[in-house]
Amino acid sequence: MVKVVVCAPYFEEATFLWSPFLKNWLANELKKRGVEPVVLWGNDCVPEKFAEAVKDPDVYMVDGVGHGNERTFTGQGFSELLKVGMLLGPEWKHIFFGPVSCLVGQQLVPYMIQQGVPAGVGEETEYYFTAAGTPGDGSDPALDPLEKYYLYAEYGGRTLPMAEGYTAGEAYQNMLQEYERQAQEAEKVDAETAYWLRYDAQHRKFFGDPNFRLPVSGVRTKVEVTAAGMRLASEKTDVISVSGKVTAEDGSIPKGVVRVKADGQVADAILDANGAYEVSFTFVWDQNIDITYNITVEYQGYSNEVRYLPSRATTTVTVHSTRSPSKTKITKVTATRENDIVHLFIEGTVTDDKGLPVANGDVDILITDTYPKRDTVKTDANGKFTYKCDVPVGWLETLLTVTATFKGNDVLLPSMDEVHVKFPPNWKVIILIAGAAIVIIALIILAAMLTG
Amino acid sequence: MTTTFEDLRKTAKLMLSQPMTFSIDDFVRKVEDYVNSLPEWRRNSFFGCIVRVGDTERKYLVRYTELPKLLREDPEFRERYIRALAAL
Repeated sequence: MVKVVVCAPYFEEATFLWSPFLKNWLANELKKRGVEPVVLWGNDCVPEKFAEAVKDPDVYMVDGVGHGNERTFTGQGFSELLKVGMLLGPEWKHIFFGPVSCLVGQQLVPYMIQQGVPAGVGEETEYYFTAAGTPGDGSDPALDPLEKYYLYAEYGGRTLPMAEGYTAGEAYQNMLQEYERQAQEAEKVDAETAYWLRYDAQHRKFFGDPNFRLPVSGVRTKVEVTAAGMRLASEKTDVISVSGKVTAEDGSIPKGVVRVKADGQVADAILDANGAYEVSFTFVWDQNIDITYNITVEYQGYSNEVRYLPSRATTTVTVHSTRSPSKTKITKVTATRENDIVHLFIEGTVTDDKGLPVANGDVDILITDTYPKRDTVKTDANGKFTYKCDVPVGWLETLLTVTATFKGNDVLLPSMDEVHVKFPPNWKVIILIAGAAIVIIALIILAAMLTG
Repeated sequence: MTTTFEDLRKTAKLMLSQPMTFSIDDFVRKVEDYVNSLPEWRRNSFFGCIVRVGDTERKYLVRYTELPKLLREDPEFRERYIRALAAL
């Protein structure tokens, strides 16, 4: 059986947060794929035990995590597991090197390739990450709402596909795509995490032979997936249908089960006689807006006379809003200046796409000048809204922008209208100030003449 | 005004392209503003990297609340951080 050495030091905060997921989640996922994890956990992740573990002829990959720099990769307590200048034994001729570690892509991994290691991945800069610090027992990446993105991208994107028979090059490309996909997911929650995922992916380099492959036994499979969505506006739900088939590299028809995940919902489906599957999900929504659903289909693999290797695919489906356009129109603005105050009166209408009035609609009013003024009014039975307020203005020329935005409702999309109201300078004040200034200057000159 | 992560990145880029624009203090203050603007769970979350420095006592994984202090006190980490922020 193919074995993978998983380095999982556990001695300070970074490894406290990361390694539990290797010990439990990753090890378990490797087992599911018929690959035996050799987890070097905590005090077992030291040079002697590492050297002993990789000597096992069934080991074809070293993975996991470890602090690193340009020339070294370390284990428990920063003990050096690998370093530039170290002579690597013949066992390394068939071992892929893939742990997450800072800077090892600069010198260490290229050195290992020179020494006969067939292929590897190494970070050329620091590998930055964010973590909520909630690894629990590490059985599921979802336990940490920030770190999960890195784990899915790195190990879900590269390590597991290699255990499924992908070549190193295919797995690396898959990993880069997965980092981007995870960044897009993270962006919905945390822009910073999305940035570091993209940063890490950009600096994660491949070295060696892209055709290297773990000698996993079994037939490689491929999941095909299509998804469609339908909105039932009256029931405030979306129905997502996911279908496809699993194909085998040798042309045979795989048996077994696919697990389909769609934004928090999970369903299992048994493959039919053609290797096809179909499931559907129902989602309830609050707002009738465009919603994108992320779908993952995981074929679990199957063993009988033939061993079919696991595989997976992802896709997204966007269900569009069913609301129709609305129209907001500011029909009248009257403004009367009284010294430095303007009495403003605004009137307008909201209609639907057929020109019919929209009653009881929320309209946001925004008046922008030096100090923006905001308020919300409702339309009456005739779709009409009115608003009045006092706005302070200076004595110089002033431009007010009045914006009315209908917020939309279950059946109508938002719409807005905008008008500009310009006020000329307040000449009374200007003449008064200018007159006062002339008098003051005249008095100063007079005083100067009198004092000689 | 709230400092966003995008603001931090712009500042880091400016610090590298026009070094006189921002002082280290200005930058760390921006990081503080950013950290203070985060929701509580996020402020208490961790940020860092899996690097081994010569001095193994050095810690490059901290809670966000400790990040400004680390940036003030560790010029090597500060430079790595600014370069990484400006990288993409």
